[in-house]
Amino acid sequence: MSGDNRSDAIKIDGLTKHYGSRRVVDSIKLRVPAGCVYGLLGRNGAGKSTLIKMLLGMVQPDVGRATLLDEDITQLRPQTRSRIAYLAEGHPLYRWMTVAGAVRFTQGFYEREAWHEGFLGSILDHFGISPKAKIGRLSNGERAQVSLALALASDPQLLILDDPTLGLDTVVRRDFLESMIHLIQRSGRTILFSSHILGDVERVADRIGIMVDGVMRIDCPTDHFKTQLRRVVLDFTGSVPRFPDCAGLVSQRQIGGKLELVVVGYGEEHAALAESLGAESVEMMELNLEDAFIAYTRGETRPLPSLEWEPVGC
Amino acid sequence: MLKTLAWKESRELLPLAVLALVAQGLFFAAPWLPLVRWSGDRGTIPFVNQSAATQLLYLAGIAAIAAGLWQTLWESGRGTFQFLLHRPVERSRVFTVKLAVGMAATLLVAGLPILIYALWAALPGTHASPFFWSMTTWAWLIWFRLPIVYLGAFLSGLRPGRWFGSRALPLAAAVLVVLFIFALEQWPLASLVATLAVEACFLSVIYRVAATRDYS
Repeated sequence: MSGDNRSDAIKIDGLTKHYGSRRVVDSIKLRVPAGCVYGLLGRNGAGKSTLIKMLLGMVQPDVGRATLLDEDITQLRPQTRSRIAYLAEGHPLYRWMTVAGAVRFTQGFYEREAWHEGFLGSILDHFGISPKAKIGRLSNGERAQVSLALALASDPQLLILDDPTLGLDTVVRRDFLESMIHLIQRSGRTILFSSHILGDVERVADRIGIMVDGVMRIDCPTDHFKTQLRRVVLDFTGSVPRFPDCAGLVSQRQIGGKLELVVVGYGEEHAALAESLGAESVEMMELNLEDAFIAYTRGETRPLPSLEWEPVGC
Repeated sequence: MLKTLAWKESRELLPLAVLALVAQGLFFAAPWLPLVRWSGDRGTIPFVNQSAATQLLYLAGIAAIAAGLWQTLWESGRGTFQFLLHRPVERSRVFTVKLAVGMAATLLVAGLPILIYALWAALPGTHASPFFWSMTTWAWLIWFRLPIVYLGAFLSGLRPGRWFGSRALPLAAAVLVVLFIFALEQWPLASLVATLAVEACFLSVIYRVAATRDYS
């Protein structure tokens, strides 16, 4: 294996998965360097969870290969698995166990020296979770917190979190994320987490990937994505033409007499096209990550109708 | 780690085992309970007309099916396979412990009532008929085949199927195989070999499915 490979905590080469005739993950190629916090974005059903499950051996890929910490995912040894923490979607834990029971159960799989009991205790204490509490009686947020504590107790080198804030209300989500960032970010630790909540990713991720219909459409630094994507509004007096397909055009939609485009790297070519269409004015706006993500993943939409109304005396 | 896993599996099967044993206990004790009109085995010869012992084994068979499905469908339904299978231990070991505990529970839940019934029958003065331990042989032969039913249920729960009918296929096959092995009763050695061979087949398919199926 080359030296370049060694610096990648996750290396994916052409992973593909079909469910029946539907291709849910399509030839994904991705490298996550060691120490990177990678946010995997996509709408529901985009293939994020399937990709993560393939990485962890929960789902068998049809084609392609991948390595985690330089080890092929199809042959992950228990020793390697012990260096990887995985928070599955929905934080599945045994509901009949108490928190202390879940800790004892999980601890049983790790070497004594690899298990940081004190650290785990302090995380649970931070979240205010009693070891005597029954998992089944905990709220979604508390269960997420217990999952995170259990995942971190073995001091993993790589964390893979599948939509860790799914189902949590806004306040709990914010608390959970802040604690997560505080707890898991340390030098050399690689984190891959999926989410469909952009604000979460924006705060945490160094790099993002966006999956649309099983395809990885974007893989770049978070800031780069935000600066490259622009919303361009073209104003027309008469009928609104369709913007010709060109490089960088992500989406277009008609809103009344305006044509709203989302473009990556708006440049001279786009400006010339806008002019040739007879646009009266061109307005350019920056997008926050959420707007950029929506624009990127929404796909083609029908034109929004104009509201015809007559003012009445009120 | 094997102890931890075994503890978890035992703890999860405990309510089911207790329920099965209580049901069998009530069934056995019913003729002596007030307000119960069913005469049960009272007045018959234990292990000869096979009524009570057969019923106890039927109940144990139902418990074996429930155990196999419980250990797989319940784990799938709660999504805990993803938690369990990410523990740093070989997947085959996880399933070995699951199967070992499930088979032990099946044999215990089926064997204990039969043993107690036989001990009761062996006590002088409990019934007006002769009793020899050899009379219990047929019951122990059925007991020995019950793990096949358990393994069939386990495979049915583990194997992904598009619809319930195809999913239940291994369980149906297990029941049919057990009935077929009954036909070999005249040849105890052949019956024993057939039972072990069928169990080995089921185990090999279970390990293969466990290694290759998607836990999504």
